[in-house]
This record gives sequence, C-alpha cells and structure tokens, in this order.
Amino acid sequence: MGITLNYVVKRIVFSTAIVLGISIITYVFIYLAPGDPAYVWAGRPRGPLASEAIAKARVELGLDQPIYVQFSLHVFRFFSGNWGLSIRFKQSVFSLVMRNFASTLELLLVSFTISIPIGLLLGIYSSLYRGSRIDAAINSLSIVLSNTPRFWIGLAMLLAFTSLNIPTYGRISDNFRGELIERIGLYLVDSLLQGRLDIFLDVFIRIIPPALALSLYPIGAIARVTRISLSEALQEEFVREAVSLGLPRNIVVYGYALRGLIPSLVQAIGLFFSYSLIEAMAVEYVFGREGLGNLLVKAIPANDFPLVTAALVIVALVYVVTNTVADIVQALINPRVTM
Amino acid sequence: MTYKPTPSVKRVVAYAYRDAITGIDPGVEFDTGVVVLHLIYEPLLKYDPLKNEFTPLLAVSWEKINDTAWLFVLRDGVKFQDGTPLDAEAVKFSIERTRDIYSETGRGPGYIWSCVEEVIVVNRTAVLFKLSYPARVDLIASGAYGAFIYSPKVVEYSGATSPIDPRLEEWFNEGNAIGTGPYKLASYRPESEVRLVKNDEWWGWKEVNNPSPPDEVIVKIIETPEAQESGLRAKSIDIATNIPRVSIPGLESQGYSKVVISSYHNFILVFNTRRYPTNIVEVRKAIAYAIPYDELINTVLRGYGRIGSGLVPYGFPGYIENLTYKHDLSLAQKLLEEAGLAGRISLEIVITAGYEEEEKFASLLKDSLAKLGIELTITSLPWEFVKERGASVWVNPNEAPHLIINDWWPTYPSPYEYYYIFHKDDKEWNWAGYEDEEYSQIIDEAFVLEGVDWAKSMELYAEAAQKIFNNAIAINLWDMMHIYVYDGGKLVFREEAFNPLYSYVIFFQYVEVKT
Repeated sequence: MGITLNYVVKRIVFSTAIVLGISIITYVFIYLAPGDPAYVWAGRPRGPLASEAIAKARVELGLDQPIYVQFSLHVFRFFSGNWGLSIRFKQSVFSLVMRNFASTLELLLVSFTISIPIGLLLGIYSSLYRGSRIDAAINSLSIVLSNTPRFWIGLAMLLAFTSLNIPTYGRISDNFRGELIERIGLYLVDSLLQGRLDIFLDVFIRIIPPALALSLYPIGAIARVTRISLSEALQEEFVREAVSLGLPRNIVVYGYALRGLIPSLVQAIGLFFSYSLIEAMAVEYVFGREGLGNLLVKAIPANDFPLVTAALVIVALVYVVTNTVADIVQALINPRVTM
Repeated sequence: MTYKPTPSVKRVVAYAYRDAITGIDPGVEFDTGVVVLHLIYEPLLKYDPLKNEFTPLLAVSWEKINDTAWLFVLRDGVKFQDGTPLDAEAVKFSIERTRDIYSETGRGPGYIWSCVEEVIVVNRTAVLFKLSYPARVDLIASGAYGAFIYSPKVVEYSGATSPIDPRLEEWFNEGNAIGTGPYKLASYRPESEVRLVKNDEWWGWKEVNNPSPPDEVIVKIIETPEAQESGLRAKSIDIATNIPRVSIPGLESQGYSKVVISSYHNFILVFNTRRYPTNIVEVRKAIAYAIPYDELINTVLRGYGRIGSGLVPYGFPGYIENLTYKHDLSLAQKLLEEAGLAGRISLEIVITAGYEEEEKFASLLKDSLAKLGIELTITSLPWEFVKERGASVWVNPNEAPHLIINDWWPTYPSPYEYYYIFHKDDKEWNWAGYEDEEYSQIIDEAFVLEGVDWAKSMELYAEAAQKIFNNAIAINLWDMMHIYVYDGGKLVFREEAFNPLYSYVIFFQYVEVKT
C-alpha cells in the first residue's frame, strides 16, 4: 500500500486547518450574533444583584478581554483538550457532544447499511439497461429519492408506523431506558453487549423508520453516481477487450468494471455520509431522537460557543475521516495510487 | 442473551417539557430545573395562594416569635436519599448556602433569604431564623425556587472545600442529587431527558396513600408543540405541556384528556418609556385601548387564559381586580390626536419566537393598530435575544423596541416579585426604562412591611399598581393557564398534583397510574 509520511502529514495539517477554521468561524459568528452568553452562564439572574452576576460571568468567560485574547484563549483551550463546560447546560462539553454524536452516528450507520446496497444495485441495473424503461424508471426514482424532503417523509413514516402501533418515536422504550447499560453509546451494540435481545429489538425497530427516511437521499445519489461511473467504465478499452475474449458478463461487470469504480464510489459515499449528518438533524427532530442536530438547535440561541464549536468540529472531523478512509481504500485497491 | 417478550411491569410516565433543563443545583437553579428539583428535594413548606393554605413538608410546625425571629420545628425521621437524617444542621446549611451564593455572586434565587441574618440550630429538629429585617419566612420557605433542603454531605461527596465552592455546583450539574423527596435522580441529560425513580424511603408515601404512583418519571425535553403532539400520538409521551391549542379538541375526541391549571405565569406588555413616541403617555394609553381583549382571550388563547388586571396575576397575593384597560378604538384615536400624532407612527414590538400566543397576539395588535394608522413591525427572537433587546433600554433606548413582551413568574409568593421589574435599580428586567423614585420607594416600603403589617403592605402595592396603570408603563396582557394533555386511560391526577405557585411542576406522588 502506498501511504507515505507525506500523506499523513498532509492529512494532519488539513484536519488541523479545518478544526481551526471551524473554531474561528464559530467564534466570530457567535461574537457578532445578538444575545449575551454571560447572561445564560450567570443562570438568568434576577433580583438586586442581577447585573453584578452577569458582569462576573462575563469575566469568568473571558468576554471582558479584547477579541483577539478571547479568541486565542478559546482556541488554546480547545486544542489542549479542555473543552470546558457548556454555557447553557453547565455540563462537560465533551460528554454532551459525544453522547449525542453516538446517537447520530448509530442512525447514520444503519441508514448507510440500508442505502449502500440498494443504491449500488439500482445504479448497476440502471447502467446495464441504459436507455431502457428500467433505466428511465430507476433514474426517475433516484431523482425523486434524492429530492424528497426528509422532514416530510419522516413525518409521513412516523404517522404510518404509529397507526400500525409500531413504536418509532424516541430512541428506546421508556421501559428499557433504565435497564440499558451504556458502554459506547450505540444502543444496538450496547444492548447486544449486555446480552439483552429484547432491548436490541426495541432499539432496532425504532431506528429503522428514521434510518429509512435518512437513506432516501444516499440511495438516490449512490444510484446515480454508480450508473454514470459504471456506464463510463463499461466503455473502457479493458472491459471491451474482456468481453471480446468471451468472459462471462457477471465477471466483466462485477470483477473488472465495478472493481475499478470502488475508490471513486467510496469517496462519493464518504461525501454523502458527511452531508447526511446535516440531514440527520431534521430526521432526529421528527422522530424525537437525541443527536447532534437537536443539541445544536438548543445551543445556538444560548450563544453557547464552546458547545457549538465542539459539535461543528465533530461534523468536520467526520468529513475528514470519511475522506481519509476513501483515500486509504483507493490506495489498497489500486497499487498504482501513492499517497 | 435474554429476551422478555413483554417489557417489565414498571409504571413509567413520560412527561414532555418544553425547554431544556438549565441546571439542578438546588441552591443556584433559577429556571427550568424546577420541574425536576421539586420531585427530588422538598422545602420546609408548600403554599397554595388560591386557598391561602400552607402544607407542612419538612417542617411540621412554625411560629413567628417576633418581627425578626421565626421558629421552625422539623419533621422527625426524615432521611436524605443517601441515608443521612434530616436535621437542623441540614436546614442551616442549605439556606445559608443558597443565600451566600447570591450575596457573593448574584447568582441563583438566594435573594429570597437576604432577610436572614443567621439560621440558628436550636436542637436537632428545630431552627430559629434570625432576621435582619421583618419578613414572611413562612412564604419564603415555600418558595418555588431556592427553598430546597439538601444534605450537607454534598460538600464531602463533591470534593468541594466550602459550601459555595463552584465545584459543588459542577457536581450537582453532572447529575448528582441528594434530597428528601419522593423521587431520586437516576440519569440527567439536560438537553434531552431526565430520569427519576421512585424513592421508596420517602417519608410521605403513607400520608399520600397512592396505591399506584409512577415507579419512574421521565422528563423529556421536547421543545415544539408539533413534536409534542407527535410524541403523544405515538404513545411515547404520556403528558404534554405544549400542544398547539388548535389540536386539543381533536386529541380530546380521540380519547386524550386535558387538565387546565391556572398559573402565576403572566405576559406583560412593556412600553419603552425612553424612546419616541412611546415616551408619551397618551401614545401608550392609545395602544392599551387598541388591544382587542376579547379577541385575545377567544382567538389567541382559545379560552385558556385570563385577562390580566394590574401587574400581579389572579389569585396571587396582592392581586387587584378591575385594573384593566378596555378595547376602545375611538378613545385611542382621540388620545393620539391629543398627542398630535394621529396616523403617522411606526413602532416595533419584540416577542419570543416559538410562543404561539405571543405570535398571535402580536398579529392581532398589528391589525388593530393599523386601524389607527400605526404601523407595527413584529420582531420575533429567541428568548436570550429578547432579553438583550429589553435590557438595552438603559444603554441605547432608541435601539430598544417600543413594545416588548416579558413573560414573568414568581420565585416566592410576594407581590414584590412582580413590582420589582419596574424598580429604578433593576437594570436587567426593567425593560420600560421606568425610573420613578416615588414608585421605587413605595414598593420598597411595602416589601419591608410584608413581615410586619401584611394588609398595609398590600395597600402600598396597590398604590404602586395604580401608578403603573395610570402612566401605562406596562400592561399585564394575560395570566397563563397551563394545559396538560395526557393519556386519560393511563393516568389519574389528584388535585394536589398541581399548584400554580410551582409552574410546570407535576407532583408525581399524587399521580395514579392505572394498571
């Protein structure tokens, strides 16, 4: 595999630049936004000493310092791993972000477990039957899927499942909430680690509808990317040669043409995954699930800059990680690629 | 691998609350945490202003010895949730910590105890409140905030060096709690949910005699009315507090029940008295007369509210009847003409985003003012931004809105809680920019008289209310009624489950779960 030190250094620099960039942008936006984080940090005080409480909170948060000092302090704390306390929730930012990220990640993983095979299958069929009615139908379907509002489809699914008495609201039944031992925050895994099939099934049933709603966009997008890429690959010289040599169609398509597409598909799927993090916010909201989206919605009005920064950095890191994974897969599959 | 085809038979009740929990330090929390705290902790007394009735909780008897001394005798045999006994030391510790945090930092509700010079431990079950000025300690001890009693052991558990060490507050907010109440904290996620489990050792179960209280209460943070409705329909929520009013009849016809509780949570329209043209009394009065009060009740609140009278809500100590404006557009027009401003005014009103009633009221007012030729711009903002715009009246009055709605509720049962927001010294909440020395003196005097001559004190508050009314500084638009829509097939609420003084608190020990 051709992963060089140069590549590793580049990745680290790139990731650091992204985190730094997010920190700067978040801080600047919150600095310019209306609202006073000191008021929230002071606990929304009343009474004769309310002004004094807010003034003290301003000092505690460093908001009395010049902007460049504030910002340096903020970045230094962040990079030294001291993410501090949330201004709104008065809890560790790290814990808040991680537990909500785990919920979002679990939803995304299930969603992509559904969407990758379906998207690939649709894309392959569409490409193999290019120009036919099947192709037209799949193409139309993938356009519709990519553009259907997730909020709307989520709501429709929630109503449909509820009318069938299938529990879909929330991440876990209230009856199981106190029984689940959280180890890594992914409830499907935690319930299995605990040996509780009943909890696993409850969590599984609840995650399917939101995961389906979330998978519509990646299904459509993966299908379209696969169709275009495979159609181009099938025109390549080496594929035509393999056909002329009389190799079976399945071996030509799946063994040669599709294999060559894996790096670009992985890269595209990585992008869709990062994008779906944002999409997940609407779906989580509809299905009453905790997650990064819900957390951000509550943190932003309170000018909770430590929490907003951390949550956005996590989103950025997912983007970096998925891209890195895509690069590594590319290097693994294609020995000519050196990074 | 285990599998239970039917989930456990625990009685679990999910209560949807509309806002994230802001903290659970019983001595500091001054906002939404109260919905949780009243289940974990208890004050010495509980008070029902509507009945003017005290219920003994951790105190069994109390007595005013003189104007500056009150004696409280504690309930014997009560234990904190860590097994340590409730005693006079714990009362002293809790109240003095709450008071001291306020006096040191200005944070929390501890100002309600500023009258207390010292809490003296008389013996294991009796405390004497030595006051620096006369006050109604029985009312203060029933406060919705800041009156909780907690174990002094928390200092040791948290590794704090003193009761006011910030590490103790952090320890609480990490999800730790040791009270005496009917429920124990099981898990705390302020952004999404708080789980409470029944405290079998609670002293009050025999008195309550509830055969089927919830074993677990889950307070779920679901902010929007639409999401609460979805959760209710999906059976993931048993009690919703924030259902769109328009959906309530439909839900009732589908078998859901509702209970409507009056509250001391009111919505006050505040005029910017430092900016043209709302610095002119006639203009403010014209706006007050332009408000269509009947429509406000019928259309905006759909009957779930009461038109405010004076500043203090109905049923609260110091409430004054018939101190209201009436809808009269002709009179409004006349007042504008007297001010020489008819038909050429543009105003801004700031309201809180997501509050259905405020949004509808603002639209109603806009339509009504348009008939007078007044153009009203509605600015809808998150609460934190509303507060900033309101308080800016002291810094830059011409940038502060002409009108703003402040929703207010009391910390403890004293009219001063409502009148102080127009005190000349309150630069955070006096969004009118009203600076009237005489008004401030009247309410300060009334406050001190509360502990000596209650009737005289109420007279002075009434005088202050009249000043606010005559000058149209602010109008109490409506007193909120809290609507709880719930699964009537599962739950039965006893009368004691609600008390208007403790906003949005459901005392679950008085809720029966049908099995």
